[in-house]
Amino acid sequence: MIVHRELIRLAGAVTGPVAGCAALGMAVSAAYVGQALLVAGALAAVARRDLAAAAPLLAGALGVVVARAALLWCREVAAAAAGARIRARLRDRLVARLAELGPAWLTGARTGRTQATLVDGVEGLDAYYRRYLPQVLVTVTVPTALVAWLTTVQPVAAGLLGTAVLLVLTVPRIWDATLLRRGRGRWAAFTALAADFLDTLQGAATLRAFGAVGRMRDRIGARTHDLHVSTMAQLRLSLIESGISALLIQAGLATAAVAAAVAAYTGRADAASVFLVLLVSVECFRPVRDLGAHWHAGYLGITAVDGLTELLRAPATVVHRGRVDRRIDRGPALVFEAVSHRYPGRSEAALWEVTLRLAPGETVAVVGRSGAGKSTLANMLLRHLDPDTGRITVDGVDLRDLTPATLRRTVTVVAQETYLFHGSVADNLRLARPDATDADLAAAARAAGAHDFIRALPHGYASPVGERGMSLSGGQRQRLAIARALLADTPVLILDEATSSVDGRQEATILDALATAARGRTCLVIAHRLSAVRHADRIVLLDRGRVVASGRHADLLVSCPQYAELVAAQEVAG
Amino acid sequence: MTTPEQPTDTRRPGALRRLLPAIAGHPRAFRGTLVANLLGQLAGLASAVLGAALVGRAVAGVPTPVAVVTGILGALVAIVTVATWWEMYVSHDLAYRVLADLRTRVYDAITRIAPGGVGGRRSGDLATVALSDIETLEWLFAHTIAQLLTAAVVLGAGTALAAWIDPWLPAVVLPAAALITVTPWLLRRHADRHGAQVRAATAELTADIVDTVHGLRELTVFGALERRRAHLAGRTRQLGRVQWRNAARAGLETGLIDVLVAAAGIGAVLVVVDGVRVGRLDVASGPVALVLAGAVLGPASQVALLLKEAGTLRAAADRVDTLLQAPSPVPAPARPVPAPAGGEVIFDDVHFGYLPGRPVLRGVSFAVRPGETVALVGASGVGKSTCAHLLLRYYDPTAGRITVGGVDLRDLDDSDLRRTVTVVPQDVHLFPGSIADNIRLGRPDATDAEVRTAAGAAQLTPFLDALPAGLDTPVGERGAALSGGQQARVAVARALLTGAPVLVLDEAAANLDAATEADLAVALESTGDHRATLVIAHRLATIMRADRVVVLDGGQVVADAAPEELRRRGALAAAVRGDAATAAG
Repeated sequence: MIVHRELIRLAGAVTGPVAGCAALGMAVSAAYVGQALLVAGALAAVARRDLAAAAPLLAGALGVVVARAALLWCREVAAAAAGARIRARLRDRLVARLAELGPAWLTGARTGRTQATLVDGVEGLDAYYRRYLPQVLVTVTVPTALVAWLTTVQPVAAGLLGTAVLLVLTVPRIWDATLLRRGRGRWAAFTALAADFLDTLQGAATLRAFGAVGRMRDRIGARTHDLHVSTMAQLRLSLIESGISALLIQAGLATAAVAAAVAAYTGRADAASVFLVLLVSVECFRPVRDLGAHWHAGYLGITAVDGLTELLRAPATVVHRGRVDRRIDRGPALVFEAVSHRYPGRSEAALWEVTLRLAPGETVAVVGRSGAGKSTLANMLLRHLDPDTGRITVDGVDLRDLTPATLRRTVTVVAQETYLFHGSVADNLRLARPDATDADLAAAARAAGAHDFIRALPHGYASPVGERGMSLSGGQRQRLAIARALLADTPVLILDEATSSVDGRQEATILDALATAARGRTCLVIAHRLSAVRHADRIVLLDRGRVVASGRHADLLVSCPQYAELVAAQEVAG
Repeated sequence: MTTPEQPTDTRRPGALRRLLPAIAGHPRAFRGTLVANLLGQLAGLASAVLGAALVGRAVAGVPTPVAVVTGILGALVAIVTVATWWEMYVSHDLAYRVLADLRTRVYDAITRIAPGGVGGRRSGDLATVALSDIETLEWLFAHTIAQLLTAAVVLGAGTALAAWIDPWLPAVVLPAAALITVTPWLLRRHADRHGAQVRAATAELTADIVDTVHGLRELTVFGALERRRAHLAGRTRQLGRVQWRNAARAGLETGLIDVLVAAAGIGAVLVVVDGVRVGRLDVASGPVALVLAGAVLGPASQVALLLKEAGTLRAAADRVDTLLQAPSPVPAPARPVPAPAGGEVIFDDVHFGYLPGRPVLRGVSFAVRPGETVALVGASGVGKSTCAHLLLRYYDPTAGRITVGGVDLRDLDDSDLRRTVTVVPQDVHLFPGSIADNIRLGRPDATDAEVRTAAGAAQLTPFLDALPAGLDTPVGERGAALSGGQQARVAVARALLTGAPVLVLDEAAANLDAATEADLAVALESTGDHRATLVIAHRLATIMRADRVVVLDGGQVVADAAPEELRRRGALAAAVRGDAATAAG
C-alpha cells in the first residue's frame, strides 16, 4: 500500500475522481457483504431444517447480485473516465514542460527516453491512479467495519481476522523504500532500451550501410537483458507483498474456519453465526485480495515517477520572463552588444564579445569557416540560447524582455537543417501561419521555388512528406523551409545556410525571391557560399567566435586578407 | 497537423498462435509455471474442502479430530503460499525472458527490412511495437497460457468431486460455467475492435510525441507550441476514448460474469437445500458441496477474466507479428559469391520505382571505374539519390542489374557488400557516443591511429584540436552537439575508415564551406587510388573536380562525358541547372 506523495502531487486534483471510484468500490463491497449475510442466513436456516425461511433470503441475495453487476459496470466505466482525465492532465503538464525546456535541452536529452516518459510512463500510472488508490480506501474501510461488527457476534474470530488483515496491510511496508529504489533502476533500464531502440529505428539505414547491425543487436540485447534483470529484482520484492498476502489470506480463512468449528463444537456458537463468520471472513479478505491484484497491475507503472520528476525539474536553458508585448511592423534595428557564449564542456568560447549592429531594414551577411560561431549567433537571436554576457536588442528592447509570443512574431529562420513533421506539405507550411489560405501557401511556395515540385507530387499540397520529410530531397525540403519562413512574415529574418542544398538554377531564383522578401525586413544571412550573400548590404567575417572584419564585398577583398582567402578558395573551387 | 488514421483492418488471423512458440525456448520456466500453478490451485481447493468439511461436521455435531484437521490445514496453507509465490516468480521470469527474445526478433526484423521495407511507417509507431506492444504481451505469457491449462484441470477435478457428492450439483453448475466461459467470446468482435483501436491510438500518440521532440526547434520558432500541445491533448483524449470504450465493454463482461457466478452459486445452495430436504445429502456435507460448486465456477470465471484482455492481446500480437513476418525488400542470396576486391561499378539498364506505376529510373546505364570519380547530376527529384540507394542495396532494381567487379550486388552476402560499398549519406545519422565511436561504426577494430588518419582526411583535425576531449567528445543524440558541417565530416571519416573500394557521396558537401570542401576533395583524391567514387552533387565546383559527369533526366542517362567536354559543349551549366535537354544536345 504505497500512497506515494510525489505521484499524488504530480497528478494534481486526484481527490475527486479517486474518491468517486472508491465510493463505487465500497458500494460493490457492501453488495458482496449483503449477499454474504443473506446466504449465511439461508444456510443457517437449512441447518435448522427451516427450509421455508431460506427461500426469501436467497431471492433477496439474487436481487443484490443483479444490483452489484450494475455497480461493477459503473465502477469500471467511472474508473476508465477518471484514469483518462488524470493521464490527460499529467501528460499535458509534461508537454508544457517540454515546451519550456526548449530546443537547447534536447542536446543532452534522448528522444526515446522522453517518448517513453510521456507515453509509457504516463500510461503505466493509469492502474495506480484509477485502481490502486481507490482500492486503498476500500481496503482500509471495509475490513475495519466488518471486523468491528463481527466483534459483537464472534469476538475470538473477529480478533484473529482483524490481526490477519492488519498484518497483510502493514508488514510489506517494511520493503516500500527498497521497492521504490529498485523501481528507479527498472525505469532507467526501460528508458535506456527505449532510447536505443528509437535511435536504431531512425539510423537503421546507416547501421546496414556500415555492417553494424550485429553490434547494435548486441547492445539492444544487453539492454533487454538489463530490463529483464531489473524487472525481476523489482518483482522479487513486490512478490514478498504478494506472498505475505497469500499466506495471511489463506491462514486467516483457515483460522476463521477452525475457530468457528471449535465454537460450534463447544456450543458457544450456533450454525447461523458459524456461517456468518465464514462468509464475512471471505468478504473481509476480498478487498485485500483485489488490492494485491491492483498492486500487481500498477507496481511497474510507479517506477516511472523518477522519469516524470526528472523532466519536470530539469532546469530550462532559457527562461521566459519578458513582459514587453509590442508589434514591430517594419524591419527594426538589431544590435548584438558584446555578446559572449561558451558551450558547456568546450574550452573555447563559441562567441567572444561580438558586437554587431544591423540598421533597420539592413541585410547583413555573416561568413566564416565551419565552427566560427555563425549558427550560435542565429540561435541566440531565436533565444534557443541566451548570451553568457552582453545582450541582444530588437528595436531597442532586450530580447529577454519580450514575451515569447512577441519574439515569435518578430524573428523567424530558415535553418540549416529543416525538420518536417508527419503530415502533408500544406500542414508543414501552415506551421508558420495556421490560418493561411491555399492561395497564400501557393504564393509563398512560388517565391521559394517550391510550387512546381509540390504540384508534381502525387497529391500536390496534400501529399504526405513522410517521416522527417524523407520522401523529399534535401533541396526540396530546404525550399519548403523557405516558403514556411516567408509565410511567417516576420520583420526579422534569419537565413542560416538557407540555400546550401539547392541546385544552381534554383539558388539564383530563390536568392532573388529572398532578396525581395528581405526588403523592408532586417535580415541576417549566414552562408558558406558567397553566391548566397551577394544581396547583402554588408558582410561580417567571423573567425573563432570573434568579428574579424566588416564591410562591403569589394572593400573587404582589399582590406581583409582572411576574407580574400575565403573568396579565393571558392573561386578555385568554382 | 496529421490526418487521423484508422487502425488497419488487415488483421491476419492466428497472430497470437504464431507468437506462442516463443515460449518453447524456455521449457523449464514454462514447466515450473505450470507445476506451481497447478499445485497452488489444487492445494487451495483441498484446503477449502477440508475447512468446509470441518465446519459442516461441527455444525451438524459430527465429531472430528480438530487438531489433526488444523495441522493439515496449516500444511495446505503453507503449500498454497509457497506455490503462489513460486508461480508468480517463475511465470514472470518466463514472461520477461520471452519479451526480451521478442524484442531482439523485432530488432532483427527492422534491420532486415529497413529502410526500404518499412513502407512509410513512422519510427514512433515501430518503437511502440518494440516497447509497449511487447510489454502488453506480458499478460499473455505470465498470466494466461499456463493458467488456462490449470483452470481446465481444477474445473475437471471440481466437477468430478461435485458429481460424487451430489449428481445434481454439476447439472446446475456446469451450464453456468459454460455460459461464463463463452461470455468474452460472445463480445469478441467488439473486444478485437477495441483492442486494435487502443494499440493504434497508442502508436499514433507515440509517433506524434517523437515528432514533437524532434521538431521542438521548429515548433518554438514558429510559435506553434501551444497548437502542438492542443494536438497532443487531442491525441490523449482520443486514446482515452477508445480505452473508455474498451473498459465499458470489459465492465459489461465483469458484471455479466459476476451475475452468472453468483446466480450459479445460489443455484448450488438451492441444490444443497433440496438435497438436505429429500435426504440425498446430509447436513455435514452441505458446506463441502458448496465449496465444490465454487471449484467449478472459480476456474470458469478466471478463464473469462483472463480472456477479457484477449482483444488487446490479439491486437498487440498482430502488430508484433506483422513486423516479424514482413518480407525483406532485398532477399539474402541463396549462394553468396565472394566479395570482389574492387573493380568497376556498372549500372546495367537499371529500372526502378518506389511505387508501382511511378518509375524513377528507366534503363539507367553507366560505369564508375576504379580510381575514378563520377558525378551524378540532374534536377532535384530526378533519381540521383535513388541510384545511391540501389548501389547500397536498400532496394533491388525491378529490372537490370548493378555489378561491382563483375559481381551482381544481389549475389553478395550483406557483410561482404558493406565491406565493398560505403556511403556518406545526405542525412547523416550519428549514434550517441563519442566522435571516435561514430567513426569506428564500420570498423570497430580500427586502431586509434587509423581513426586519426581518417579524421584527418575528412578535415576534422582543426575541429578536434579545439575540443578538450578531442575524439572522445560525445556527439549527443543524432549528433546534436555538432554543427551540420561537423557531422558531415564525421560521416566522411566513418566512410573512409571502412576502406571500401566503392564510395558514394550523396550531397555530402552541402553542409561544408568551400574551403573545407576543397581540402576534402584533395584528401579524398590522395587516399583513393583504386577507389571508385560516385558523387551526387549540385555544386559546380564539386562537379568540375569529377573525372566524368553522368547527367540524369527523365529516368535515363542523357549525357556521360568529362566535365571539360560538357563545359565545352556549353552543357554543363545547363546540367547543373537541371536543364538536361540542353546538356544532352
